Amino acid sequence: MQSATSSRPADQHAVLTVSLAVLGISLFVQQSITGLQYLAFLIGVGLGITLMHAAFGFSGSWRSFIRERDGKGIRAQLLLLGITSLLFFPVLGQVFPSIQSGAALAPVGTSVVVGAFLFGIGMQLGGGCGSGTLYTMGQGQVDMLITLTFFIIGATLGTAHLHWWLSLPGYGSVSVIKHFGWWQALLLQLIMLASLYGLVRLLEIRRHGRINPVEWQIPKPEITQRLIHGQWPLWWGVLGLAVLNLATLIVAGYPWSITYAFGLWGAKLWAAVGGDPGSWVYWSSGYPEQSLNSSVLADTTSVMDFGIILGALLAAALAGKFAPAMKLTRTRVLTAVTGGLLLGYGARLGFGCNIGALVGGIASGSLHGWLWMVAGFCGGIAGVQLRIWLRIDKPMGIQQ
Amino acid sequence: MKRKQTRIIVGTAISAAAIAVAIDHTRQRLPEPGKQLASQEAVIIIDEGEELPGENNGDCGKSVSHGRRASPCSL
Repeated sequence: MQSATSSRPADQHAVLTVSLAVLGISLFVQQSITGLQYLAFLIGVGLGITLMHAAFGFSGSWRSFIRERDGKGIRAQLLLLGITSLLFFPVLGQVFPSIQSGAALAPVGTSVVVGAFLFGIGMQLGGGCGSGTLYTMGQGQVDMLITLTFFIIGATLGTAHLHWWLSLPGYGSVSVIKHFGWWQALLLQLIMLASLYGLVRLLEIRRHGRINPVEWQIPKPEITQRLIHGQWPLWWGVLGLAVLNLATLIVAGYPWSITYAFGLWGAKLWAAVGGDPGSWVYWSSGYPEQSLNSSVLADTTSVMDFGIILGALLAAALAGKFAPAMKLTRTRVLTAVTGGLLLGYGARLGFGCNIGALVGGIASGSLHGWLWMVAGFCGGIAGVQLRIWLRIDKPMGIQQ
Repeated sequence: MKRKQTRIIVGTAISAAAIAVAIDHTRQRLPEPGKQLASQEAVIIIDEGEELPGENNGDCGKSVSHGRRASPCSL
């Protein structure tokens, strides 16, 4: 995660082009798709801007903690989980009966453990998570274009095999909100998150003698400049993502998710070249079947993903960071391909990525979110070791 | 890779994706308003302990409680 203020001039041509694209797509979706789909698209744009301006990622911060015990990013993620839970639990606990929203509940089982572990490895090899891949691709990083392409292929393969993984041992879904009641479950959840926060802080202090703070304040004269052009303090990112996730819950009816759309895009492309994904178990009934046979613009997750890419592109152009020059080595291409496949396959098996399963699951009170966190982090440790083995990173204890 | 090359590659990829979306949108029928809302609102509401869609037979669209279609497969 970066901390410097953006000093490069805005890319005005890109800002104008993307702004017109956002306006045009919003109007088109409003006209041609029913419901509140255009609002979902605009929420996606907001998420893309927030992710990009706050440089809010999961892969790099997990790696920083595993390698150097720098817990700033992980503590920001725990704050995000806590604030999102505070916003979600009353809504999902039917405190406001007029808001009809569903939780991100999924089964606790073998598929989640295996999927999250593979996803954790993929995060370190591919260079991004679900949200990170989208926003860095929107920023114009060519290597992430490769990761995203194979993310889509992996997710599509995952849909072909999911029914087999679901036949392995599992418990079923567990909602702590239904089990304990919303405020008791919230209290329990906040205690667990606070304990984890304390543990991360302790390990950080033990290594460095101090903690790397999650920034909050910036000098007053810089506020407008930083709001438009970045770089945002990490706390702004935490609050922005939590509020926009709540907006997603209210508008779309379920928490923010990303990777369902990747499988859908892959299945549609497979159908376009003559394949028959409709004959696969996954796509043969329910919402998957319906979305496969409808316009991609009717799928809320897809529309939000398009918004995230364009929002990140807009933010990158405003910060003068769009399409950075880069060196694309053979190793980087290999890790982008492998990482992308693991990310996609893992996300399908794990019922979502770091956003849909980790943030959405935990903030919805679903036990599978916690299981995903443990298995995903173990995968992250394996991924960090693989990076050392592939000589992408130096061995532990040696500065990068 | 220089910045200009990067811009061309990313621009081409986004344009190709936009064309693919346009083709898909014109080829597919739009869902009926009521149906779309119902399925997306109820994608993942499942009672605790209840058999999940696909839990045993891989069916991602099996009907569950409240007469809604629920599916963690849509996460």
